[in-house]
Amino acid sequence: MNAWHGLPIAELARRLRDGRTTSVALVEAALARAHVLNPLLHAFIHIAAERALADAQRADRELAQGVDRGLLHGLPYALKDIFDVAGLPTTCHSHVMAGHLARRDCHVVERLSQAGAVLLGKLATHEFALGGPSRDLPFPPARNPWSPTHFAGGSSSGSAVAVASGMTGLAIGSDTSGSIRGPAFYCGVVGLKPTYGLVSRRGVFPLSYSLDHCGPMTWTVEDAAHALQAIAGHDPQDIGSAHAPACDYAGRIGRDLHGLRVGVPRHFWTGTDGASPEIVRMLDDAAETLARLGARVDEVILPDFELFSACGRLIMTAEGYAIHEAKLRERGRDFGRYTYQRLVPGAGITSADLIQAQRLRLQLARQVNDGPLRTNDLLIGAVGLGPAPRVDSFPEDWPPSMRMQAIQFTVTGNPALALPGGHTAQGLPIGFQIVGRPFEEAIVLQAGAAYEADKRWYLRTPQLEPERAAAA
Amino acid sequence: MIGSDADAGALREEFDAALRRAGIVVPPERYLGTLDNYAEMRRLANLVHRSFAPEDEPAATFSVRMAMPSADAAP
Repeated sequence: MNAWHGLPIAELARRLRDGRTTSVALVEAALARAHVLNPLLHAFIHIAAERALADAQRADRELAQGVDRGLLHGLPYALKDIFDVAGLPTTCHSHVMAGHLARRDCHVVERLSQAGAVLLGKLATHEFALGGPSRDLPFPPARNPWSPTHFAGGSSSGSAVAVASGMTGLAIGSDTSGSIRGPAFYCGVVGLKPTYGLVSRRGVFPLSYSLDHCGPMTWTVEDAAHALQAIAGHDPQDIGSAHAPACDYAGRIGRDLHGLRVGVPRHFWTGTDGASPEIVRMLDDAAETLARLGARVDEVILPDFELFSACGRLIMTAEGYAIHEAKLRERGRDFGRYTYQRLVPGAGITSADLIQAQRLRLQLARQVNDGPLRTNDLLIGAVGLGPAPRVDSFPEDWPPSMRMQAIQFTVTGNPALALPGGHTAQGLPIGFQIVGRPFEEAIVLQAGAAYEADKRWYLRTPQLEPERAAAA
Repeated sequence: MIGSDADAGALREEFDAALRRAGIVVPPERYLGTLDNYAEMRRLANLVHRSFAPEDEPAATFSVRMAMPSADAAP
């Protein structure tokens, strides 16, 4: 691993300010690591090396002159390739977007630039944040650093892979039905889906206007808090942007969990079609750990998962189809097979289907937030019901069906933090999510950090072939 | 995902009608996979079509705040 990989943002910020490192050194290390690992893992689609080094030099000059933009000043990051950066391609990992250059920065990039962070490049994604690890796309799918023959998750696949492999300490992804939390789960990193509207989606190619969330992916929970601090906030140009009260997202990290109440909807992942025994044991252990750390933990009941899934998938497909309608008609073969087969059925979703799904969505959100999240501060839940499958197990003609339980909290819009919870006997990461009330990310992060500090899964990193070869 | 032959036939007709209305011609090698996913969408749609009590009706689905000009909009 990089000498700096695994060092938290706060520690890197200290070393930048006390002269032990420079932004240029951090960026050069990240670029060197990407040079070695990207041919194997395909995390990056586009590496903007010259721009990154120029921005790093500027960051070093500013810091030397006493201009301090905050913790992220001079630190490298990377973006899922649906986020616009002026002058750079936004491909959405699709032939449909070939040659497209963004004309202006998305809101997230504006905020990260103000914070002095340094963009390394654009990361692999499932096509249009939907399709799947398809082979008929302009770039290969990102590979899981823990086992390159296994699925990295998606759609923020490149984001998770880049963080897990130490190519960057911070990546930005998006989550519509689990696309931050799923790859975080499969790649053993932290992924935060904030409250709906907390982070602006302006300049991010949409999959579903009503369900898209943007958020950070990092190695540690505290780093996710610092990243969220930089990118959260009202954007009047995103009509879905929330007017959230100002918050110190890392402010509760380090506190114990006494006084917090945690609900566990165990019925979601137990039963005949439930999670693998390893996942169930991990979730039970997570609940016991939070109790040991001081939380009051009780089982709760949520509405049937199938209702959340039906609601979310209908809304996502209807909106995704509408977004791509003209292109599907005019140049359907330019879409990858998985994306095409998932979008075109939207043509048959009726207006009544969509309205009923929206009504149900409101009802489900109320049932969660007026029910278990009235009597509890937090919930915990599964993300994946089994570890990463092998990539060669995916059928040729059908998008892989991932057994995930993430969509319920994009439907309700609650903040949800995916974090590592251990490894399978084969060494593949598994994890879970902590869910909070709307705009209570600070409490979610408090609980996640407490669990993380107790279990210390972040000390275990993937052993990659180039590293083994270099060490031999 | 598709039940009896009669159900399958009706579903295919429904799907083909939707495609004609949308002006989409599905490439032959993608047709069955797309139809299978359409069948799944119909299954999901059946789950969300349910009756609501009057008190469950939302007050609104649109807010004028959505249409207010942003601070950055040109006059």
